[in-house]
Amino acid sequence: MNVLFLALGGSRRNVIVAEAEEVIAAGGAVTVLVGKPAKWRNDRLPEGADMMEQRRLVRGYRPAAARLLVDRIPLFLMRFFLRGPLRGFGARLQSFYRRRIARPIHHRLLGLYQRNPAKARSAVHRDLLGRRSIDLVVVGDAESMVAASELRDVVVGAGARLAYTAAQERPPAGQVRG
Amino acid sequence: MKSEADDRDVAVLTPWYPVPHHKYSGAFVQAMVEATAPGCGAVTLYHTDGWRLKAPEDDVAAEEAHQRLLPDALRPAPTAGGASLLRVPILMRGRTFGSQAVEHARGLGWALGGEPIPAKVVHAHVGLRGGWTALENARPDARVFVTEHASYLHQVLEQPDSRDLYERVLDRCTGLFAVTDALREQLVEAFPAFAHKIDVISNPISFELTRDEPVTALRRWLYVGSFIERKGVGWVLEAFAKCRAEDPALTLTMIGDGKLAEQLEQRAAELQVEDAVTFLPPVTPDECTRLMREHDLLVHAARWETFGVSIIEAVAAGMPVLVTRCGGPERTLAGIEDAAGQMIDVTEDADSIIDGYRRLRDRFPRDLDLAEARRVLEERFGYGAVAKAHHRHWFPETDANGEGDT
Repeated sequence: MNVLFLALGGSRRNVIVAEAEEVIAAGGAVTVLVGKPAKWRNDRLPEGADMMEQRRLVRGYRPAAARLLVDRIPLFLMRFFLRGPLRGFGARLQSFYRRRIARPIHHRLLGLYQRNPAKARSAVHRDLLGRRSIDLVVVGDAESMVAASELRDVVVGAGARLAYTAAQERPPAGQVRG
Repeated sequence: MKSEADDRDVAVLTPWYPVPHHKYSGAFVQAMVEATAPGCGAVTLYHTDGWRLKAPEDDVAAEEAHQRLLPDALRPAPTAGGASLLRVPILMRGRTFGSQAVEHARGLGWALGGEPIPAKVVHAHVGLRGGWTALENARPDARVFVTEHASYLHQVLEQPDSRDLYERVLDRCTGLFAVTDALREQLVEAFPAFAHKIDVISNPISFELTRDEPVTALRRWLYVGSFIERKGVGWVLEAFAKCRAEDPALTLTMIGDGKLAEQLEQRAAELQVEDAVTFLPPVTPDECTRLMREHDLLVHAARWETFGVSIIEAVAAGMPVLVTRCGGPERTLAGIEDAAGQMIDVTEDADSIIDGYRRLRDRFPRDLDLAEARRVLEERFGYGAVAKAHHRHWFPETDANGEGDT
């Protein structure tokens, strides 16, 4: 079972770590979406669990229109006009363009992408639910409630389930004495 | 139309239940469900789990989102005794027990979609977060019972709003069960007008397993509990070192955790008994039972104790006990003190434990009757006894087959 924990506030880190351990021990895969990775410095996820920062997830996302205008059209023109003997120069120019022009533009637009819940939904859908074939999305803390609610349709539409805990997905754990 | 069997449906409410990050939290609730579920209809357990809200500015949005998520995210899972478990997150910002109870009641109401709990019998654990939540969400004709376990009850009663709410719980509930006499006395002192509603029913203890071979010599000592001052763990270690000087075959296993853990390990080294002392972290009940069957003597030297579960479990596992007269054990072992082992006074030194051990060693095995002690304790605290006591209150007019006047 592939489980995505939404732990954007990091206020229940011990819970997420313990549940992630159980999922991995049962042969599942775990991805934890966090707000601030620094908060997890003393609460290490079990080996095999992936931590993904929400900001980075959205940062990697570029809307189709932005990709067309900022990436695809300029790069196509460069490739088209700088052919033949100019090919070496064209490759250097494209590289320069990507680093110095396209990337800063996307970086400037990042705030807009992050503020737009639809963009966040698309990023989660594409990069997490789709690529990782998530079966279960666990709402891990109170700070993730709003994001989880916004993602509800995307999660259900992708065939995944929503839950407040991954612990219920297997027989109850034994009690401990001491 | 509801059948007779539906009249025996039970809802259990608890703010504690074993979870992966806290596997011993609410183990007694799990045991209670396991004990009481047989003979009931459908048992549904609502574990209201407090989730702290840390950013007040986001509270309203989080609460609205939570309410939208509940229908999709809440699903029952099987648990002890064939019961069905629902874990309900409760968004909390309250600082007092009373305000948290109000939040638990409201949160469960959201999870139920505004409908009352369907069961006619509701058993709530702890007075406020369980009891108040039950009363606010039970159907009008439901019989609501509350079991009080809280060792921090005095703190609850010190908070004016919590005390007021507790009084309302006592007023509205059908009955309240304290798990020890000490807790009952505390409640009766605080709310004398409701003394008639407050009874004592202990937590259930499993007597299912015992040891294959009886204890033949009191050499392998065992301590189970927290490593804190109140448990007298330091004196246990000191006494062990002195007794081991007389008998080098003695060993001690200490199971638990607490702020004295490191100090105890250092002291064991100073006393040069580190090779004979084993420290183990908290273990599962099954593992605890197994370890009890591999040891010869439970040493329990608490300064104060309301009940002392491990003492009864030790007798259930066929072990004699060396235990202080610290409140609870005098009551739980009443009438079988000598049959079960040796009781000693609480003193701030190791001498009482050492003297007690020597006396017990001299009396063992001829003056003890562990089988009789076990039988008596099973009658008092076994799953069957505790379930029967609860069922008598829950279903006063019907038996397990739904037939009348039992």
